[in-house]
Amino acid sequence: MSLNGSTNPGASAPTVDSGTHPAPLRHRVPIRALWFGLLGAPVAWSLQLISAYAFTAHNCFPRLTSLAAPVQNRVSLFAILVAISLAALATSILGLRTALSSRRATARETGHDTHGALDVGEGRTHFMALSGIMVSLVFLVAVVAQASLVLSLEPCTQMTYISSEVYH
Amino acid sequence: MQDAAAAVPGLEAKLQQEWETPRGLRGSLSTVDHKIIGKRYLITAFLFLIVGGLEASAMRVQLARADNHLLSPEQYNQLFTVHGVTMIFLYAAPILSGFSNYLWPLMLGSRDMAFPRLNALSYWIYVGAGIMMYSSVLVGAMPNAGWFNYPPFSARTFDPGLNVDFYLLALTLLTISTTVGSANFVVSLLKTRAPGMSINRLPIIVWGTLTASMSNLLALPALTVACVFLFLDRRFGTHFFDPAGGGHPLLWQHLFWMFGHPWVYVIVLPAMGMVSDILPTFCRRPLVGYVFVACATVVTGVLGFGVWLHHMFATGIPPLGLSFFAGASIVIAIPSAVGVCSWLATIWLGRPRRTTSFLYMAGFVALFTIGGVTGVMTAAVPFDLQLTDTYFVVAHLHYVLVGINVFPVIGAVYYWFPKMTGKLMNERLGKWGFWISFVGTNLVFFPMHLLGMMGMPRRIYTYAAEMGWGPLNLLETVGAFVLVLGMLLFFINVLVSYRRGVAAGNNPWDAPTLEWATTSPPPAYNFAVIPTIASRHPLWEDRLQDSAARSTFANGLLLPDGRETVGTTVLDAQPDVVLRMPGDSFAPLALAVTLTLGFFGLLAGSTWLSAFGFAGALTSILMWLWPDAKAAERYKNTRDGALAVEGAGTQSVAWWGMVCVIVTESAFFLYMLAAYFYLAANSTNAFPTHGAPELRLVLINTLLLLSSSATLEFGKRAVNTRRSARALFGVGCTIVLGVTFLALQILEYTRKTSSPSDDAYASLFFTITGFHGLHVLVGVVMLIVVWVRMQRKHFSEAHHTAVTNVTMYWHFVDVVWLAVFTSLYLTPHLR
Repeated sequence: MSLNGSTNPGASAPTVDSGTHPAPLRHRVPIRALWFGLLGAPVAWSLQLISAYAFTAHNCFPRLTSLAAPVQNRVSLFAILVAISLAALATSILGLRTALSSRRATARETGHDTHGALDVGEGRTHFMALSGIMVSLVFLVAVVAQASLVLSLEPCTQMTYISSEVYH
Repeated sequence: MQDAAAAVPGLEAKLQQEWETPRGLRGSLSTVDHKIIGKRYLITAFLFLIVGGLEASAMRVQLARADNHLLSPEQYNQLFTVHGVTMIFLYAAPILSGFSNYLWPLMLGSRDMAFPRLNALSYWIYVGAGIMMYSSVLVGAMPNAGWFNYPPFSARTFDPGLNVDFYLLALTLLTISTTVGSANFVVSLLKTRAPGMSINRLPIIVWGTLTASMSNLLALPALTVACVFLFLDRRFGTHFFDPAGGGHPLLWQHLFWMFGHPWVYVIVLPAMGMVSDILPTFCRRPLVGYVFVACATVVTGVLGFGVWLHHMFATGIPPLGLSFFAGASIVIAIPSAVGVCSWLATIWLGRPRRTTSFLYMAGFVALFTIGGVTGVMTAAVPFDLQLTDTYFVVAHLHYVLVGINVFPVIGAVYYWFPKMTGKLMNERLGKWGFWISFVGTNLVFFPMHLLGMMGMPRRIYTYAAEMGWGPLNLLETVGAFVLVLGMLLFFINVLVSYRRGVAAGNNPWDAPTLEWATTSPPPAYNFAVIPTIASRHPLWEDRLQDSAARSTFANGLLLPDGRETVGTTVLDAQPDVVLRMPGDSFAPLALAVTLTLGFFGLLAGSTWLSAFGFAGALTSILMWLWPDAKAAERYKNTRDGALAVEGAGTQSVAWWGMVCVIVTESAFFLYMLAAYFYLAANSTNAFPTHGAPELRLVLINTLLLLSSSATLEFGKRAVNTRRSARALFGVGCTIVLGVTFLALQILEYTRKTSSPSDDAYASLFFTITGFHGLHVLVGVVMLIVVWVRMQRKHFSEAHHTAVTNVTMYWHFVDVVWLAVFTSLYLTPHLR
């Protein structure tokens, strides 16, 4: 292998020099915080979606039979769905908050104003923090949307407006 | 500063000799050059587009007037099924793979993909799948149950011919091709970027293809599981989708759409990435909101996994359950709108040059908006219930697929054709082609919205005149042929420009990304000097003045000693390791051919042909993986200057490749176990009907398998500390334990009184444990290879990636067994 400085003139080590390192402020934020900011809300949403659907289907559609009211259990279906939604909401907010504080800690990494940070995307740590904010916001909307459905619809709402001759 | 390449006399000639594919048949069949494979993908996918287009034209002629009997109902069924399968599976995804294969190493500043031979394998299996699908024409049994192939219509009772079998086997073959291709993209992105190309400096097409590849790894196993289950139902009398035996047809819909909706984003996200990268070139400014668009791309892919039920709104599932998925489907509008706003702002704030490529990208934005809006409409449950299975849905999906895939693809051909061939395409012919295609697309697909709302169902071969659908159908047929004319002009332009196009030069569009820094067409080795990247627009840095740092092209890593490229760290792309790349080989072709033969054997019900094919495939794999003496010698050279060679653990591409295998295989088992719980929860009878399984033998077997993880870990640690006798002992014990596990599993099968065709539980039990056993067998074969290599002293403290990888795989197989044991053996005792 030949590197700059070995068989040709130039730098002596195969690293990008510190002046152009893509993440000069990478030591200011733990990598775990960056990943949590990015993944917290999406994971919370995924678990909320799957578990809420599973509980609803299991309690309102057992053995593929549509019920008007959920199967009676020790804990009501509504309480379970609310608990799932609250857990997802809390995790998403925590993810968003982590991403926000990561962004603050790395604000100077981009070397640009906000326009530069968004359009140019410089500063890898800042980029991950900023992405975490955007990702968390979108999934927070999704989590809130699902939570609002739990609150606004009866768990085993029937499609009474559909003719059974047509759809069954 | 002196040019680095000039310091090594004859560098370019040396690299050319090392990397160039030899001419002639031998070179053609054995090449692993990503550029050649990429172009082959493009040409093959375009051939399928032409075939799919001819099928569509025939259907449009049939529907042009009422009570038409040009095609029989059966011919029409076959045509619309094969048209859908061709366009969605054989054109839309492979065409994007073609671009990504060709462009990625050039855009990433590398000399090849991470796994060049897997790249070739992916292409050859794709060809095999296409041949298998279209060989159905020869026996007059093309797939005929629609591109999503719902049972019970596709069950043997109602569709007894080979039609559906062709579909199931060809798609299973295609999933193998797409999976290995996706793993290759993921690892290439993680490990083979030019120094300095941190994740915030990636072109959007790379984000698109990465998201699509991750989606493939997680979603494709659902299709594989569905196809395997249905094939077993049809050929071996299992009951996965048969309610009489405890199965359920809705299971197919769940599995198919768990794959199907992510797949929609697989075939659009890379194309949207093309738009995000091409528009800025012609608008003479960076993409507005790069970070937003990069995030929107990934977010769309993730949300795509949570919307599969919106294809099943009319199946009777409770409204609250449906509403969760409706909500997620509507939320997808947010990242989509981010993209549209960004593209419009880039055009608005830039100084657009109205080239043909630009027009196709602008046309995409218009068509995507229409397709996106109708997507939001169908995400609303009440609306969808009214329009399910009408032409409104056909209109929506064609706006999405033609608008978001075909238009960007053609625009991308105009854009990258000069890079691939060194010649420019004819702009005047191109603009004519665009306008004719754009008008044709809207003429053929927009009236479908109206027909859908008038109640015209999809998939009917004709209609009565009194329905009043005739005039709009005629208009659509006229539009279809206008679109065909536009496409014809495009293909003529490609052929004429290839022969007589004007010389393009290295960067005819004055574009900012790395592929334009090398010659047109690029040399076999892509870059004589590996570039060092300082920004997202390496070729526009002087103009943009975003920072003082500059990317360098003349000075950097040379790597002249063999087929080498640089491996970099995952997030910041710091030089990490020298990767030695494999050369041309016949092994990928041999594996693809034998695997395809094996699948033809399954289709024909020929045990001999299947055995021959799969034995050949196994032999090809062993030949592929078996290291030669030279390679073993090479491993002794552990450092090259400041960098490790090949490396170990996360430095190694093989380690990341194994992670991809484990991810996709985990998904495979997860879908099968999800199917078990779905059927168990919905079964109205006892599940299993013959009582809960016996636990004594399986508990011993579980203990054996778990012990084998400990012995293998012991062996691996011994390799790390150079204690070869202990290492051989540890791996040897693991092999013995693995073989004993398999023997006891067979013993358990022979003791069972039930068979896979007894009920759904038995079908699941034998299939899931069978697949797990197959994985144990593969692990044992890998362990034997490792053991032999240990004896030959192939491994050292620094180089033992194969040992690490097989250990990871073995632990994975153990964890899967715990899940299988808990689900199939323990839960029946809890019911």
